[in-house]
Amino acid sequence: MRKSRIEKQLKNELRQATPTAFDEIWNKCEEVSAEKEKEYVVELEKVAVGVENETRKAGGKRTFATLTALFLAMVLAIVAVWGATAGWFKKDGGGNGIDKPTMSKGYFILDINPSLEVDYDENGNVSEVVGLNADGKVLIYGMEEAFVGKPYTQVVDLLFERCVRLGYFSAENTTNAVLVSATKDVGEKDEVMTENVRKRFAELFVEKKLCGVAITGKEDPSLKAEADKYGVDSQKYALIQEYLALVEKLGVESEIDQEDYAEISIREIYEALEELEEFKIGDSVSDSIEGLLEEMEDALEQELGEDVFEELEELAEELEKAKSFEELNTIAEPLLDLLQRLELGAYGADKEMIRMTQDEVRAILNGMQADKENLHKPTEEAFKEREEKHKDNYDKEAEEPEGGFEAWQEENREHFEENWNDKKENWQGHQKHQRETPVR
Amino acid sequence: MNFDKLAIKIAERDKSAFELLYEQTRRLVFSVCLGVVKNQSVAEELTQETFVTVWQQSEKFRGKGYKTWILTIAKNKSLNALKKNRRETPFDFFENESVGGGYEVDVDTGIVLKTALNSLNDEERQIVLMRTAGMKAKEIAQALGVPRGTVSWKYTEALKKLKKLLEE
Repeated sequence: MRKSRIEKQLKNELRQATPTAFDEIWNKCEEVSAEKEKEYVVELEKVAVGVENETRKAGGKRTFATLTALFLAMVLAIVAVWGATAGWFKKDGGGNGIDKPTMSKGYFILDINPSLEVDYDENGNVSEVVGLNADGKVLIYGMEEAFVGKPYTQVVDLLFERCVRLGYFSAENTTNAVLVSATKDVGEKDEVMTENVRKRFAELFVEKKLCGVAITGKEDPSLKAEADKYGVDSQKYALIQEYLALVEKLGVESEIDQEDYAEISIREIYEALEELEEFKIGDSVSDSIEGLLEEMEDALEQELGEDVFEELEELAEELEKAKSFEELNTIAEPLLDLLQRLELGAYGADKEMIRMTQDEVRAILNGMQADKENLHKPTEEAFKEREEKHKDNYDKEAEEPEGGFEAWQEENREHFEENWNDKKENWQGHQKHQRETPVR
Repeated sequence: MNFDKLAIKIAERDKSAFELLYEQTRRLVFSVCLGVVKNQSVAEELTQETFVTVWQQSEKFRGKGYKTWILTIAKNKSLNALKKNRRETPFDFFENESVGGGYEVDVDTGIVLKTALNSLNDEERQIVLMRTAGMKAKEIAQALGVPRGTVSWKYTEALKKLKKLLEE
């Protein structure tokens, strides 16, 4: 079945399936409006009664309030003394009711969409925070020095705050999530640190009233078996596999060989992934143009004749071979040139249809140009844009889910753990930004 | 069709404006709901609920992007419906929270539609249905928060997938 026929059939089927009766909708609207009016009247009555009762109780309440305040003050004083003795206020990150981390330095990786590496010393104080991808760099822009020397708990709080400020976590998003993984310098997992950081993020989601989960990622036993062969942990191995899969898809040369697996750092793997960003854009563009021509195959072939259409198709195929933006633009030129000649009347083709095709191709190439500019945008500029864009959403809270935010986390954590890779594939497959794509 | 002007009239409780909005957007709203829940009767209910909410909340709507606002309501209602359904809730994640599974895939008619619901992933399904309902690639890109090139690319890939499955 040709794709254009599929589209026509899909259109018909969707049309048949779509409900039509406006009257039903209207009746429901009126019903709901009537119910709301009733509730409003009942509330007004309740308020009236409540005000009357409050006036009567006010006298007795004042004495009770004073005694309660005194009692609470005493309790707090006792707790503060006890806490100081227990070391709650020490600088080494032993506060917030979180276990003290194991006494070795290491790093934890945070995957949100920004990806970050946070290095810490044997006291749990942060020595460095590095943005591993473009969004990671944007996230910590201007704060890199501010993190150094601070307890990791404080750094987690600061990073969370930044994520909200720049819209990486938001009230509108019901799948805010962060994956945490800590590793000691010697290469073993730091389970205590992982859980501490994860727990703090989970608390912050609840405190800030956002629907979000913090997870640690499920160990894939088959992956672990493979990873062990190379002497690496499964997280690193998974990342390497991700890189290699992308390299194969894009038809480029790998920068990571098997003998590098043990030595290469997580940071270096992310850098290698970042270097593929241009190729990913080119790959997507050539697919899009090819796809567009395929969609219009019937119509274009009829208008242009088989030979000319074949020429169009060959040019589109050439786009696949492009390995840089410059190459892509160079190959796209004859394609656009042919389309322009067709618009001007060559072969007697329908001008409107050719113009539409041209517009679509230009839109795809403009999109590529915009993607490229975004890729090479200075971090400062990207940071300011993002901050400006999300400033109105900064203080918003999510609608409380049934059972509350904590219950929501409990309910959803496992699903996020199991499906993390799908989400990651979509972050790294596309540039996650909203922008206007100029269309000629 | 200027949806933002329609929004003002609907906020003023203009029934004929609301009916016009319904006619212009019902297929799109339905396709968004269907794309999430994959079940025709559930999607119909959610479509109804969406329009009732739009009627109720239009006076609170401010600024531009009325159509996108309506689609967001549809999407959120569909996601919440899935969450409440505890039969089967695998989550697929995108920055714009599509969620798959939960209801039995069911449409009364249409082999192509059924195949699309069964075999495409969440983002492909949403893009295909929104495009089929008449949304432009640029609008879909804005609604889903992905680059326009991604919409074109994913749409192409999804149709290729459908073509292959239907030929088998």
